Amino acid sequence: MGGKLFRNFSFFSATLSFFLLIGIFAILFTYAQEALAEFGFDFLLSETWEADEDDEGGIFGGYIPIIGTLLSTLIAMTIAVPLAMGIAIFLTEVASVNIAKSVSVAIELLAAIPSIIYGMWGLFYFAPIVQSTVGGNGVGLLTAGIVLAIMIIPFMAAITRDAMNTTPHVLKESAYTMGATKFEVIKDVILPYSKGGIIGSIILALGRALGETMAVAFLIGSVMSTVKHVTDPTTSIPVLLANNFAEAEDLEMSSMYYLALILFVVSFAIISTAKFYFLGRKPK
Amino acid sequence: MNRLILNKVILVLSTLSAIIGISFLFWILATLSYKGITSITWSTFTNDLVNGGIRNLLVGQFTMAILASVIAVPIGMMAGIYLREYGHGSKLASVIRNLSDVMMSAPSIVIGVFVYAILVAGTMATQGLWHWPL
Repeated sequence: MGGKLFRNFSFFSATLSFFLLIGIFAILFTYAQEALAEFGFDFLLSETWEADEDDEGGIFGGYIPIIGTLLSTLIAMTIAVPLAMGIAIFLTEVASVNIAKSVSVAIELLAAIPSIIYGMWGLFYFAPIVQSTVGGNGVGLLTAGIVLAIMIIPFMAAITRDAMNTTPHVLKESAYTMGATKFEVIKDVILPYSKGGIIGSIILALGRALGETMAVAFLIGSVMSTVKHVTDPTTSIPVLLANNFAEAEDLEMSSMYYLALILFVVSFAIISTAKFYFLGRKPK
Repeated sequence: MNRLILNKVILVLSTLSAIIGISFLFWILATLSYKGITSITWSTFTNDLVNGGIRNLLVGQFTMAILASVIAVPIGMMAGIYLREYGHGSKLASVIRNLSDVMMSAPSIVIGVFVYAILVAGTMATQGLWHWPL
């Protein structure tokens, strides 16, 4: 009797994640219905985000936050991918065991810092540097992208390191015996062997960068304007949701659910591609 | 000779990237602890925010974390137990495990919007707690 109850409760708990997924999709879709009916797919290309005087309706388009999200992620990935690869190579092939261990700990520490701290640090200490070297207001697309890069580097480096570490020593040693240099071993043995894991880690980091809220909210400027220059302030989907959610009504609210739906579907697609196609499922 | 130089260049670049990564960590930790420690006094913990302290923030933080744990820990553990003990090896268990894996990385803002929709949106409208927009 007790056993059966226990089993049922555990079954219910296990299936909850499935129902949550369906629930999130259904709820976002339902609440986005009004905006979907009003704007359809033109929503993706419209730059206007304006409520009417009476707050009843207005014209809402997701182009600016969507582009802001994509561009800040693009900047972050451009900076983070080479650096994370470099760090992973350093940890697996260059550093001695002791150094690799302490650097690994530091990298994992960096990955554990809450994103809001990156945001605050970026705003007070990093944005002024960007302002004095590149120009602009300090806060803007570029600053957000760089700090986002610093945030995802440790995560990417850690998974890439794990993937590279799975290369069998026999393979590496045989290459060294043939007179290969370290770089040749990395390029011709390790990279081909751990390709899947590395691409997987890049895509996972991409998913993270797309959905990051707090760090970007501090740094991107949160204004509804199209970017013309890389230092211009703009906004992104998570930032717009975080800033405007409490005040919005009716159609504007529905438009924000629309944006949330887009973000959810895109990141779900990205993360599942990474997990199933590239990282594979290790048995247990 | 060329390949030996290339080798050196790549290894130096990779060491450099590690140094860059580490220096950002120390930069962040250093500013954080320096600015943090210099502004902590005993009254920081005994006063609320309006009086220049963080007492109410700490209370809120821990209450929220405990509440979340009370809800999530049993469910999470039971789900783990099911996957390992009852559904082990079954198709359903593997689907659930994969789904949870993906859900783990869902953007937090989307979860926030979802919970807002089911818990807050209804109570703010006049239709009552569980107003459903259908």
